[in-house]
Order: sequence, then C-alpha cells, then structure tokens
Amino acid sequence: MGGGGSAGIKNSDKPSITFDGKWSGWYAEIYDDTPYWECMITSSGGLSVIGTIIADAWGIGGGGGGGYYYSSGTNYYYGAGSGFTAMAANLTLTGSMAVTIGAGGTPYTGSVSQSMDVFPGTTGGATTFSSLAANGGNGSGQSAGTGGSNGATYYQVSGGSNGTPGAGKIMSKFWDAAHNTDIGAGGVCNSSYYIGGGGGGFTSLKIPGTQNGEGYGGGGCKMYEGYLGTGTSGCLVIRIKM
Amino acid sequence: MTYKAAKNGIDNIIEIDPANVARYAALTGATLTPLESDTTPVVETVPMTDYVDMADAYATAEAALLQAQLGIE
Repeated sequence: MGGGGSAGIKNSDKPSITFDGKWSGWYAEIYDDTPYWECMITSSGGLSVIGTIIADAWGIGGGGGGGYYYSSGTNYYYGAGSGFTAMAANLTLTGSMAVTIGAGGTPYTGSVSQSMDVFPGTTGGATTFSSLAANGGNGSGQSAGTGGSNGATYYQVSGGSNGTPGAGKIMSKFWDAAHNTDIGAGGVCNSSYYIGGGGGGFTSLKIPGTQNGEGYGGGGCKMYEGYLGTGTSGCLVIRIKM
Repeated sequence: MTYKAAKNGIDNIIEIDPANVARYAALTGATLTPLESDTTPVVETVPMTDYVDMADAYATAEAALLQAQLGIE
C-alpha cells in the first residue's frame, strides 16, 4: 500500500485487495491518531491481493453451542462461551489468501435416551487468516461454556461480556481501548425457567428472542425445545496503514 | 451457510457462502461438507420435563420474538 499520509486521502487510494465473500469493503479508521484502511469480513473466502501489502488482523472465533442437562423432570440450560479473540501484526499479504470465519457451535443433535442426562453443545469454529488463529468458544452442557466471554448458568444474571468473566481480553477490534464502545451483551439468564445466557461477542448485533450472547462470536444458549442455541459465527478485521 | 472443513484429520466448522466453496477449497486444500442449515428448526425427542412451565415460557418467548420483529420496544 503506497500511503501518502492522512492529508488528501482519496477513495482511489484504497488497498488493491478484493474479497469474494461477505465483507464491508474498505473504509477509513483511526487508531492512536494514525489513519488506516480497514475492512470487516463475515464469511469465509479468498482475498486477492495485487502486489505486497503489510497489514494487521484481528478476529473472533464462532460462539459455542448451547447445551443442557436433565435432572428430576427439569431441563437446565447453560450458556456457551463466546469465541476467543486473537490478533496478528505486520502480516505480509500477497497473491490469493484464504480467510476462514468460524461458524457457531450447535446444540446437541444426537439421540436422547433415558439414561442420558447431559446434552452438550459443540465448540465454535476457529477464525483463521495467515498466522492468526482465534478459537471458537466452548459449548455448554452440565456447566456453562468458557470463551472470550464465558457463558452463564441459569442462576446467574447474564453471560459474560467484554471478556469478563472470560479470557480477559476486551471485545474491541485490535483490543484497542478507544474502540471498546460496541460490545455484545451476554445473554440474560432466567432463573425461573432454568435458562442461562451465552457469552457476549464483538458488536451489539442482536438475535431477537433468544438467550444467545450478542455480537459476532456470541455464545449460544438453548431455551426450550424447538429453540436453537446455535452460537453466532465470528468475524475478521484487517487494517492497513494509509 | 455452515460447512465442515476437513484437512489433515482436523475438522473446523466454518461460515461460507456456497458460491465461495470451490475457491476456498482450492486455496486451503480442505474438503468441505455442508452441514444442516442453522436456520432450520430442530425438533427433538425430549426427556420428561415440566411441560406446563415450558409451554408458558415458550409462549412468552414467542411474544417477545414477534415484538422484536415488529420493532416494538
């Protein structure tokens, strides 16, 4: 990327990189008074890079799938963890490069028997790009799942958000404190119905009518039969200095 | 859509549009298999539970979902 500083920025200066999946395209963003071109990617695919470009990347894996356990006539639903976050700096982008966006984990889909009492959700998929790897959140079962933000049990208030309780990393792109303004809330628990909440991910993207954690990478939480507790898929953010 | 991407004995579940599968597979060398749509309702055989409470809660959740869809705060 041949940047010319912040003065006189033009659309024609955008990085010579295209993507064949779902993405935002390039937009301007500022970190620590330094201008960047940035994009957000929300499905897997291939980047096409003209020349060689140095970039940073930040991502979150898919949220875990909500699980539950059965005891004495009652189902107890536990929230799964959000995806974990990861960052890689000074990556060399060139040619065709794969981007992998981790999907959300799923609730238990196997058969049910009288002797079985734990129905675990699955781990979310990993979001990967070059050397970056952001693992998926862990599914829940007889306990809440761990992740970037942990899921919650039914007797808690809500799933974790912004990394607490959880892996301790704030849910903002590039872990930048100045951008820590759009955070996915943890799913709200309902002790009356033994429902926990999934861990909150990145952004306040909501899934109406569920106890899932908000945002990309949000953890799932099953609530009643017929309601899925699928975790939300992750995302990747790439930035390039202007 | 959700796919299983398998390579070197390691599986990952990924989010990808079907139109991008061929190029992604060529770039990564992974074998992709579509999984069930995550928007398809799952009907399960459930253990005995408190169906009265469950039905009541289900109706409440349905109402909340409809309200959200209509944009009612």
